[in-house]
Amino acid sequence: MADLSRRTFLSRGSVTAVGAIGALSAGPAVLAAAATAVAGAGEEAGAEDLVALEGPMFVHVRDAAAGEVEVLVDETSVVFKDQALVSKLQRATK
Amino acid sequence: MSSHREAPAISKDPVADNTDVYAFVTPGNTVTIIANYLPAEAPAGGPNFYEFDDDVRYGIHIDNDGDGLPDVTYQFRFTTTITNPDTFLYNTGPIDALDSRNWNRRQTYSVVKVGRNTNPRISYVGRDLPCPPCNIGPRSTPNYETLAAATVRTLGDGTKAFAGQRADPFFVDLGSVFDLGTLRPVESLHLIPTANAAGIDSLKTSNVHTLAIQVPISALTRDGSVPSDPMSELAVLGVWAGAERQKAFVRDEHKRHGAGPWVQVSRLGNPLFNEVIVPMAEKDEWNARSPYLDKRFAKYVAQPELARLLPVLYPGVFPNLAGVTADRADLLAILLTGIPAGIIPGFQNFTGSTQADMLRLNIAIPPATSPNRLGLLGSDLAGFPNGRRLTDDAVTVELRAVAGATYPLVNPSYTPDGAVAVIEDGTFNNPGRVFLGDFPYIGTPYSGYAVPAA
Repeated sequence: MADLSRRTFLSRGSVTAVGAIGALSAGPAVLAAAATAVAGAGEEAGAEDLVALEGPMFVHVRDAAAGEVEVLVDETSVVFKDQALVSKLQRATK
Repeated sequence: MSSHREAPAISKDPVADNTDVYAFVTPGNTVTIIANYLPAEAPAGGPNFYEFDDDVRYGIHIDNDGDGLPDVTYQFRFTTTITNPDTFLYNTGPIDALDSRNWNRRQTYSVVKVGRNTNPRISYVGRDLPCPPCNIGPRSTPNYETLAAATVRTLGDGTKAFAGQRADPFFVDLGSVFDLGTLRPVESLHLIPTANAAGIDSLKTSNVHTLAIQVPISALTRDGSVPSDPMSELAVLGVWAGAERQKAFVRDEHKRHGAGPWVQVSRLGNPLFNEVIVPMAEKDEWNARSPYLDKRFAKYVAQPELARLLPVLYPGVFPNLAGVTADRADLLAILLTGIPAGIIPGFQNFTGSTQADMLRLNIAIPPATSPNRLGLLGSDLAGFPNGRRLTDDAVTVELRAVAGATYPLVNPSYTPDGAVAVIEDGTFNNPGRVFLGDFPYIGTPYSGYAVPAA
């Protein structure tokens, strides 16, 4: 993620953001895992951890000050707190 | 309008805007439910003629235990296909068959049935079902009735289904009612008077897009029975329809992506509920909520703004209504709980204490042989607000009910004002409306050639 710029963030979409919270596979089942993965946030996922998504995944920062993030994929969503992730996203947009 | 553009947000999203819901008993122990979308379609609105949205999940909901939650839902999703990428035209010749190569942009749909207490809970009951084209004109869509009839299909659970353009059966004089509540037939009595005139039906040449299903009654009741006793609680179904979009949506160059849970953006049970009862500041929220949460809006039914306006707009015409200060228990029953037994002989459509805006249909009441447009107000137990038929005059029924016609049901000492029995907007009997004798009953859409855009 060292080369993450605003342009690459926007073009690569939320998959890049997901990489920061751990390895996720497509589908609703992964959302429960997302929250678990966040517990270990701080670990950087490698490219080998990224799994292709069948559809889009959106990361919605609901409350930046509280680090509250909602991940939307397929027909479901999960909400969790990860201030480190929010900080990374904010830096990526500057 | 019943629910055409009735709330600020949905007025900007017409493909998801649920305009009307109808539910009535039909032959063969079935119920027909019709949900209309896309308000005020101008028939000549090409070259991109009206269609359902592939990104919307449409739904028809049935509650059979009175809790305001759906026990059976039919979900509709649409897929749009362009068959000829080299033309700007909707059709390149006459569309005389559903597989016509001349038809460039067409839609198919799938139907998912969701049962609250069934196993499996979710089942596909129809896939790749055809929609008819829009009714363009005699050169493009000759034999339109035959073409449209060919799209009626029987789903995997025995339900008949239709999805496509139809003539809007709703009739109302929008030009008058939104001009400070005047009613042309009696506008000499208005606060700002003009000469009385005949009503003008603002929707008399408008089309809508219709979802219609005809379901065996036994597939909708909680115990699988076909009730014959109108006084049985099993005999009452609550019906409403809606539309949902996914929570997140992104436009990515020429593609569009949705993700996340489906959230409701439109709903409709009783005609005019959100339009006339709910304050504008809360209409969008009402559209996003489910009926079981409607207790919050009961105060607007109990003290309807329209009942306070009528004596002001028509000075001296509604003195008895002006004196009513108590909560309108009649309207609370009609719109939110159903009418309990003991109020109208031989009738009830009570669903319990949960206040929920649903169209309540007593399925043990057989269809009327001579329907009265005023339904229950006209002593026709098979009409609105016992369900709603395509010909029911919902505007007049609700106008008169709010004006006090139904208040004696809960306060026998009350005498409605004399005007209550005659007020209406004067749009009934529009000669342009023709209904079908069989499913889906709702009429053939107006042709763009015959009804050019203004």
